[in-house]
Amino acid sequence: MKRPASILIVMTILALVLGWVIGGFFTSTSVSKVLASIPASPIVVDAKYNESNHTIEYSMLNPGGTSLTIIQESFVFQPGKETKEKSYIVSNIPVNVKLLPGVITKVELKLKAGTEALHFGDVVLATFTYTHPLSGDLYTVVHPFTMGQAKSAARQSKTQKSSGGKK
Amino acid sequence: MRGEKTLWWVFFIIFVAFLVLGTLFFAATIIENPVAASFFLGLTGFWLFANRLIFGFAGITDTAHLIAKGEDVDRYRLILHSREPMERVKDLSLISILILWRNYLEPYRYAYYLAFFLTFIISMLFQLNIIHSYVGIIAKGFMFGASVPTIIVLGLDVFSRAYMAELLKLAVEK
Repeated sequence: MKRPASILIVMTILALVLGWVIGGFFTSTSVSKVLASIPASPIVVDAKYNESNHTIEYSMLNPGGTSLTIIQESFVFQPGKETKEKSYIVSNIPVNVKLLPGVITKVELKLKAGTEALHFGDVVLATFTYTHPLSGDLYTVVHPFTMGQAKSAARQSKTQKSSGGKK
Repeated sequence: MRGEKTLWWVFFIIFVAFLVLGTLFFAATIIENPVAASFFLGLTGFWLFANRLIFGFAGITDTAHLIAKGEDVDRYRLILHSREPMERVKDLSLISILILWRNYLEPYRYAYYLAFFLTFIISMLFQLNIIHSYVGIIAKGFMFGASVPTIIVLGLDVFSRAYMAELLKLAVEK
């Protein structure tokens, strides 16, 4: 009886493949469940100055699986060479912006009313305070925005600042 | 013969152990995991319908094996399984009654494969995002649960058919 033996082998291989697939399915569902419960830090992927509203619009990506809430903004304005405006600090602007998981959300930062429009070289160092549902702690993201500079330059200044902080 | 019987018992004990461990595992995970719950539901629900097929095909395979080896087969039991009137099948050969038994299972086999196919198609509709919903992963778990008894049915189906083909070949050659 050759045929039953070969059928047995084929069915055994099929059953093993099926078991593998089922195991993979359960692993993937549980892993995605775990990943979805980890809160991530928001990433500022883009910042643009809106001259007509006198605001800076930040595009923030929430790469994690839980939603985050920005509850507070504050910023430091440092003048460049071309502006007559003096440096100032605005702190504790209460906001309530929800960052949904895996989505880029627009966050607005209103500059001080009555001040001049941003000129080339002006720096706005914004701090966003956010919370996540797993704890009551506050976390911050600091983003330096330099008017008229390419994104890579802004990123460079950020790394310089962080390395300077370590020293 | 003795080794065969020992092997059978070893496989049976492994099977029961898997069943018990699996049930315990699912009982522990079902509570928080709706996917595991739907998997278990698919497994038990489809097994309920597959039971007749599993034991039927296994019985046919076993009987065909016994007939091929020339051992004694309980004719009364064979007639009972074929669900045919006594007067009609009394004088038939054992192989013919075996074929009648398989024919009796044919509509159940067809309906079972149809039900599994529908389950598979529904989970595929979710998978391909034709219907977009959280229910998709539940349907997929249900489908995977249903595929476990289905592969057993499929294997025994093909197996019993192969055994019967061998038996018919022997009978025709005589």
